[in-house]
Amino acid sequence: MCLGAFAASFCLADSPSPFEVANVFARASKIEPGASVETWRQIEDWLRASTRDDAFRRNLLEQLAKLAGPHSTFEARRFSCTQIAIHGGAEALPVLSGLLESQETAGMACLALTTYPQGKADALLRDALPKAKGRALVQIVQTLGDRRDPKAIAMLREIAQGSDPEAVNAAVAALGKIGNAKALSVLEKLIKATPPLPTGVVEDAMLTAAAALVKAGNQADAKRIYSRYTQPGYSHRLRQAAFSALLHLDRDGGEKRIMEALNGSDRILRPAAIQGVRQVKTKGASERFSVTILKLSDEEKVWMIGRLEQIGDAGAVHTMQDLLKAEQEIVRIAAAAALGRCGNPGTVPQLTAALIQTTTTEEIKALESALITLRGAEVTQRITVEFQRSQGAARARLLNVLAMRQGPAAVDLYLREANSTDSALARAAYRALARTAGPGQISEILQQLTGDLNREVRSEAESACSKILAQIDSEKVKSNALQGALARATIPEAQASLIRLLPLAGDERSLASVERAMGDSNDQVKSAAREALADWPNLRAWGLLMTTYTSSSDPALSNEALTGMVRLAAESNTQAPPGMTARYQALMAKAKSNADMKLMLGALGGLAKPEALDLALSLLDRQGVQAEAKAAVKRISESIRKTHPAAAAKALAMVGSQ
Amino acid sequence: MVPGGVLGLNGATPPSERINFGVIGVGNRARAILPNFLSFQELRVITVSDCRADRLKSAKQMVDNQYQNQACETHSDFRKLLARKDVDAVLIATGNRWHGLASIYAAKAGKDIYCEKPISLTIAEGRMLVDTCRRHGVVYQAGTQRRSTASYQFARDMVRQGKIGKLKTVEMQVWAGPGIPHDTVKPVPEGWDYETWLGQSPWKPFVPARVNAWQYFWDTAEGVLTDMGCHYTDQMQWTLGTDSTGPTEYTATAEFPDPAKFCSDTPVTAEARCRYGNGVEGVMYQRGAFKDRYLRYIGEEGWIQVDDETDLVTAEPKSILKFKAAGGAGWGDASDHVRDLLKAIRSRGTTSVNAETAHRAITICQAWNIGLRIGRALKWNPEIERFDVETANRMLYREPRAPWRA
Repeated sequence: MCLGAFAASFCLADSPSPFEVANVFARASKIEPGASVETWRQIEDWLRASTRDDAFRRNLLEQLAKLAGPHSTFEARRFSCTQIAIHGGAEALPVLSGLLESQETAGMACLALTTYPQGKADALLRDALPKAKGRALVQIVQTLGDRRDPKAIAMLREIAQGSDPEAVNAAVAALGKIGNAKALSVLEKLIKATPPLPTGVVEDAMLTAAAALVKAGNQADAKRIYSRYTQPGYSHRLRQAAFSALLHLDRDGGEKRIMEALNGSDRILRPAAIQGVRQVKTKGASERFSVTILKLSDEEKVWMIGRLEQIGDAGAVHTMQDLLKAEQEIVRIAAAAALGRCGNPGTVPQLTAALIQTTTTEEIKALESALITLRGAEVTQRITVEFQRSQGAARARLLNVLAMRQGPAAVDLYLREANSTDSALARAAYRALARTAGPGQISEILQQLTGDLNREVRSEAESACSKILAQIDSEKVKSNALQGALARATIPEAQASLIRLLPLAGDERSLASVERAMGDSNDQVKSAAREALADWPNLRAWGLLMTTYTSSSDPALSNEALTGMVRLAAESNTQAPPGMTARYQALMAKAKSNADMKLMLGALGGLAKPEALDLALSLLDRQGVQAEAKAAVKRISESIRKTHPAAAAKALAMVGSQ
Repeated sequence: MVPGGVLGLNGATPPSERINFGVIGVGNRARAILPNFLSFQELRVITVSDCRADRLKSAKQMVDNQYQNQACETHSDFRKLLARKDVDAVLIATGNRWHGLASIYAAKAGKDIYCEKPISLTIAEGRMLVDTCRRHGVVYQAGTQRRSTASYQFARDMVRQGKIGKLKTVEMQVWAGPGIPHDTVKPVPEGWDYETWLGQSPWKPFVPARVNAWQYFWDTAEGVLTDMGCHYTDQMQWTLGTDSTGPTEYTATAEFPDPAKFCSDTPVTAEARCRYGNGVEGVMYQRGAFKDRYLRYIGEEGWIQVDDETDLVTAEPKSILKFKAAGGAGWGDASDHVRDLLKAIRSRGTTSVNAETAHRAITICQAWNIGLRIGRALKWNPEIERFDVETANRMLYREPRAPWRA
């Protein structure tokens, strides 16, 4: 690979000798597709580096011009022209002139010439026009247009009156690009030509000319063109574009024209008028536009809201606040969304009032979102005031807003409201706590969990505790917090909640609590304990699970314990502790049925140990589980093939896989 | 009997209100993004165009399968597609050399546009595109769909809300490009209109390596730095609120393919930097594997990053992530971006990545490439769109090969 760089300036310690340069260019001139292009890269490097050595650069540019000549391959000439486009000067004009004569090479010549300063290059292009034919003619016409050569107007007019459609179109487009008064006069005559020129080509040329006239300060002619294209009979989009262009030329930013369109009956221009509203800067404009809003269709009202939002002044905000009470929901939602982006603290009461009244999910979402994004130092404070005043469902919605706005900063508020007797509010508070509270709040939330909560609130509270406990690394801290709460919990529902959370601590003490709870007289507590045991996250529970599996006469409990063990075993396979195979062995020895044995073999197959392989092999002959044993043998063998090739090969042979 | 859908019943969009789309260029990218269009009831893809017969055939099949009919019409010349009165809008998913010009042709034909990125081959072509869209009143959406992606929206919102303090640097990474081995001239395959395939780029004989890997040649594209880079510069511009302007200083270094072995001429790796007037620096790394691409905003008090491969957002401080809502489609699903276009088509409003916005984003990548080509650090005036170095200004535009013109 080779390095190309800028930032560090290119500079050669010693410029290469003219002989070396000539040699490289000679080789560069012979390049065909498939050959190395080292010489081209060398030339590019030299060109970059030659800015401080005039003689060297002059030589390079002369060689480059020569490279574009007829003795080089087509590939080399194209390369040369791309470099001339960047670096070339007067020395390349003669050779480029020659290239303009051919249909095959006019394109590369124009590629180079288009970057030249005005003057000689234009003259060269004009001189080439009379003799040029076909694609070369079109190419030269296009380049003259791109270079906006005013001296070419007469020649372009002639070509535009010719019979070659490609050349005619190119000439009309070029006249549009030149776009001075003389070019416009020619274009206006051409419009009346018979047979008529293609509509699209003429329209584009006229509008291009109009833009050029505006740039040159000739607004009168530009306005005349744009006004023509706003008239009925032209395409909708063209009319709208011309209308928009006129707005930019109006001294009042287009206010008068927009008002006429908004109050008028021309429905095609109305979208463009609405789009133009944002650019009107005159004082009080938004209030004046607001007067027209009631005349608009619902869809147009939504568009108008978008534009008023971009103005964002007091009048615009006031109008949008009024539209929060509009009859159609799409208008109310658009107003809410816009106010969220451009409203201010004074908007809070209107948004909250709307939030209290609405019942539709979409509108609630829009209003909540608006209150969440609303900017301003006092916004949160005002929402808090509204929250304190509010009642019913609105209170939960506003709490959700506050949670999204403030994050952890409002945890005290969520803790307080979590105690609310209003179920919706309490649930919203716990949802906020789940997102924002940290380890510092776990004791307090667990304490609330010990209280008498309704089922839905308890579920949210448990979920919040679970998320906060997951943030704590230390088993001991989690365990202490849960044990403390358990000691205080007196009602079975609370005890069950806390027991379900014990696996998140996962320590011996928590496991002992689960074991005790399994013997509790209350069914809720007992059920929570069974659930916790089955979900236990580590092998500490193995013994208790095994005991439960082997000794329980309740098939459901026995099955839960087995599932727990199989899950734990499977999870432990990748980083199996010593004695893992022995655990499997002991478990399998106690298997109550072939169905249980199949589950165990499924997990065993994931243990990549030679001892595990032996165990699986020993079960190949056991009636009813042979297929599962065979699968386990295969799986273990595959996974230990690299470390224990002989044992794996032997086992695979035994099950007929090798 | 008239089916309910024809009358707009049962929530269906009546045909008279549907937006009819044509697709220009139906290669790999079109096949990837077309499902996003086809899933919308309020639009209908009625015709496709490509200069390769094989692709035309498979695209028709794809569209017809979706609509369970044989109605999709094909055109080998996209100008015929643009001349149709029943086409309201186009999806342009050609090779890069055609993005700008095909969009300009479409705008002149009065068609609204969704065009894949990068939206132009040169800075001046981009400006012409902006002017043409304005001149003809067409709605334009660039295919930098990450503006409509939840993860990127979240990152932008956090930066704009000051969650990482004052923004200092925007770090971006795209993957290292390949070197394309030399290859010889072969006959043009049957069913190809090679003249149209070349489009505005200088004529050259059919060399399979150049054609199949067009992304890595200066004549037909500008390499990974622009191809993928413009997604991230677009994000940077969006977050900084500089959609109608851009950075003022550019520097870059790059490693190019060994010319003895490879014919491609765009960077393999690169490190490109730009600086805005307010001091914020943008850094684009072209290195590593495809999956390693990312965008990271670095502020005085933290950072936030979107991993493009996984759509995963990470941040420091981590508490920033608590503000992130769950869900949201990744960048692979462009439906929201298409929806944004459809909304603008109806209102004649503007899209999230209109022509001006997209042009300013790609200008950054193109300025880096120009600097690399001429070996200079550059200063850029975004008002008049000129460099401080005249040689660089000569690279603002490339005269298209006739008969194609901007």
